[in-house]
Amino acid sequence: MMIDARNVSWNAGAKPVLHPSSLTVQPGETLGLIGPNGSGKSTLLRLLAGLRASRSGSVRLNGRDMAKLPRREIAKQIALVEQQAETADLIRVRQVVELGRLPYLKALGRQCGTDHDAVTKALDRVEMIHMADRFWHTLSGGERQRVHIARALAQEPAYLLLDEPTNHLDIKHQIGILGLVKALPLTTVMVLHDLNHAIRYCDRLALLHEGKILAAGPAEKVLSPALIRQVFEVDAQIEPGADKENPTIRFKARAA
Amino acid sequence: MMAISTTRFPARRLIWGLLPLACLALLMAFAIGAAVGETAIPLATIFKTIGNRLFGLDYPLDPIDAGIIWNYRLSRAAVAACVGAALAVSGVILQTLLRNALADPYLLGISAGASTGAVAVAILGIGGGMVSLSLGAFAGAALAFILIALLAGRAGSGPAQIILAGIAGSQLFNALTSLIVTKSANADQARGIMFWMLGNLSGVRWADFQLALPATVAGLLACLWHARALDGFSFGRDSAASLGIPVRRVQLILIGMAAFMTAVMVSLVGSIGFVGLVVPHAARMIVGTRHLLLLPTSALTGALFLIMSDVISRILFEGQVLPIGVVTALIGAPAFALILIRYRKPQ
Ligand SMILES: Nc1ncnc2c1ncn2[C@@H]1O[C@H](COP(=O)(O)OP(=O)(O)OP(=O)(O)O)[C@@H](O)[C@H]1O
Ligand SMILES: [Mg+2]
Repeated sequence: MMIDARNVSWNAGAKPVLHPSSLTVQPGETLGLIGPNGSGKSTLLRLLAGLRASRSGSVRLNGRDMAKLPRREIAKQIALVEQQAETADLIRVRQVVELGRLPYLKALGRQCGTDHDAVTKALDRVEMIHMADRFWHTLSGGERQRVHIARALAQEPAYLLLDEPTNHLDIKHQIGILGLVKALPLTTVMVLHDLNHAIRYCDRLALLHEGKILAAGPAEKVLSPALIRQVFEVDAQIEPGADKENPTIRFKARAA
Repeated sequence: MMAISTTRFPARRLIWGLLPLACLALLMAFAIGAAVGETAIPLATIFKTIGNRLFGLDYPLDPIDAGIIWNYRLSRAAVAACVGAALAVSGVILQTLLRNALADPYLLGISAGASTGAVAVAILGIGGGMVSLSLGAFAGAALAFILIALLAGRAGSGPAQIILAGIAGSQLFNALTSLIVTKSANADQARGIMFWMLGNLSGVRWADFQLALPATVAGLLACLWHARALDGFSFGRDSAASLGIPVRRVQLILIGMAAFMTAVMVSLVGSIGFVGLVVPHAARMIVGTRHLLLLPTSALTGALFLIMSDVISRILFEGQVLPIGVVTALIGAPAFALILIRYRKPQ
């Protein structure tokens, strides 16, 4: 049970966005993708979700080449929350979450009790059940993000891929969503910008820089002051956490 | 668990509740379509004619009245209903798949290509009299769509590319049409062509219905079969793909289907604007965005809209029939403006 990307790469036209890279998502883990803007995190996540065809190598889902799997089979296994997904449709919150049930529905079949329960449970988990009847365009940015996460949960996937899930969320909901994701019995890959969140909520990190995976492994290995300086161009100091706490990173912008 | 009940949209119950109403509305529209015209005919005569023809009843009727009703007016209303339904369904498909509220079947260059095909047959005499105007129009529509699809494919096949390719293609084919008309048409031919380009139902008979009905039904069924997949396009193509929808296949089948329906309709009655653009929006305001409900509602609304527009085109000026496209534009453009305003969202 794993997603195994071997030697995958992607170009935008002639410009390489992701150089050949390999990454294995271990069963049950929470894997964080970190790196500066434009380093290829979203691109790698889309490759892992089977949404982009790799120029080289292959992505295997439970041992099978994803390029050859029917989309519906992939969707029962992998749910993706995109960095940005908007609609101009006049659509209600519950309807959006119900989209997560599409992989399980026949063309003309009706939704059954299981589907309704999955939708209600997902809405409840992200604390959006009281807004189930609101129209999408009336929601705030953070509320939209939580609805997208609920839609992904309603998909009942084995793998949850999240692109900056804490985007737009206030601190309570950032911690709430990350805690929820961590507690779910799922394998998760998420793109995060907050390195302290990454340390706290991820089992492993992969650090991207200019379309390459520079380092992958446990947080303490990946986040050295030297690597942070090289990749993010800031000076960082890592303070060991007291007792069982996670270490904290402090940043100092470098004088130009 | 919180004890908050969230309403489930009762799509199916609504369908069954609306169905009898819809049938009644359609029947009334047909009756009005048959009653109104140069000579007004009482509704009773119309129902008797229908009874005689469809159910083998034997009411004594004036054969001239019965002939007008059956051969001219009812066939006309029936074709109008099919054209309205097909254009509206095509509009829904394109607006959903291209993620553009302004998409309209004619945007794909189909009507422009059809016009070129029609003038090529009517004025240049291509086909040497063996090819009918309709066949020429269909060939032109198909050719234009294929060219535009190829161009869009080369340009990256995104929604914006298809629309831009459609604009380029339409301009090209409209220019060709103008070129042929100015170069070689006499005044009479030019007038006939213009009438046809604005939509013309005056020549239609039951034979046209035999083509229009299967095309409309096939298109509607194909779209209904993909209703759930269409719902999945709300947040764009990547989102649809991650929900398990085979995006390319669905787009290919349904955009192809919309192009086919539109081409058939344009070849029968010319290009009638605004139906494919306005009716889907109106239907969304009535039943929301779920395609299982939206598609049949659009089809029905489109059918009613076109039958009534045809009636108006016949009675607005006594002794003169307006091109139906003029009527649909006169109603459709202000309606679209209203919809734009109502759809305004606080940004
Ligand atoms: N379709 C595309 N066409 C052209 N360039 C692209 C395309 N997709 C991505 N890129 C480029 O590839 C690079 C990596 O993009 P990607 O979205 O993967 O970055 P990211 O690491 O997710 O960045 P961010 O933190 O800003 O979300 C960027 O420089 C981007 O401009
Ligand atoms: Mg990104």
